[in-house]
Amino acid sequence: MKEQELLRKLISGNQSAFKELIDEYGSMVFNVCCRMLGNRHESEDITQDVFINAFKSIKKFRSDSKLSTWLYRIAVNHCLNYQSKKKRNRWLSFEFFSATESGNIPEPVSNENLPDILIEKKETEIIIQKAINSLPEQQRVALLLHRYEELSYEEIAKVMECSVSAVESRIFRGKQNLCKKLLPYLNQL
Amino acid sequence: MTHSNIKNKLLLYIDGSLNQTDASEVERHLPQCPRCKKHIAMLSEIWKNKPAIDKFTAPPFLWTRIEAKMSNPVQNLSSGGLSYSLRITTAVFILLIAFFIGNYLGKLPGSETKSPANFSSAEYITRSYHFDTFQPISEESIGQAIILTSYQNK
Repeated sequence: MKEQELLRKLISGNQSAFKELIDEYGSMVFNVCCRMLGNRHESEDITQDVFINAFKSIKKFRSDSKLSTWLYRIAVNHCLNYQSKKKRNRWLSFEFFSATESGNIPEPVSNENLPDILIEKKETEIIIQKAINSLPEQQRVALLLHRYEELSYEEIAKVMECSVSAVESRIFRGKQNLCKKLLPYLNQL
Repeated sequence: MTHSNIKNKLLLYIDGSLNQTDASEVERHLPQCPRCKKHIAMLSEIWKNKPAIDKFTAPPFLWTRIEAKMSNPVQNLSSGGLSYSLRITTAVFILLIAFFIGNYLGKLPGSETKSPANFSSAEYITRSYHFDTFQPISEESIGQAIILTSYQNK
């Protein structure tokens, strides 16, 4: 009911409704961007672009899915476009010849006041995140939405605009590949 | 299933994503393989380690920043696709300028190359040995060169 009301206000071009939308879904969109891009500063820029895009295309929104699903879709597409553009620009700007971005992982929060066990868990989580980010695009998106955003297969299918069985197969293959990537790390422990 | 097949499915087993047959095969394999047993314990601990997952909070003043970005669309454009298309346009423009300069220099008096028909036979043979003539050496010219050399030797 609340969402319908917000949507009605957004379509009518109400700016305070847009502010409400950002307050409600800002963290959600920023989270997806952080998970996908692994860089806080880039994620901030993309989050802004996602909401600008949402504001411009709100009239195209069909009410057959939730507002959050629609925002997830815009965020995922923006992140993928941004990454491919970045890759292309690296070729043009000759950054390609410089070292690869191996440290492209989410910035962890300060560990100062955390007990050792939590620090260890945080480091392990960073390794998992890094392994997920090295998966093929479709598997990576499906797995990120499943693990970190805790979306159902149906919701992921709506975000990725594919069938539920395709999502199942992407997550299955993603977990299999992730296991392959994590095993060498486990052997070191 | 072999050990190498099973070890890649451990995460799926932990998550309950394997079918009945595969899951029971993994269960049969685990007591025989201490390595897989160790891996499964470690994997289940890190995979189910949900409390360690941080949620990022939205950056401060997000609305203000978006509002500023929307009221300044030029800045928005320059950070995105325009810079890329601008680079392509500049590259094409430079190539065109280079082509026209090359074409102009090629047409300057004195820079014309003689056609092989206008060469004297001696000049033709000499030029045939130069790498910068860009003319393929014909069999005829090679024959002429041999005759000329043998004549000079006599």
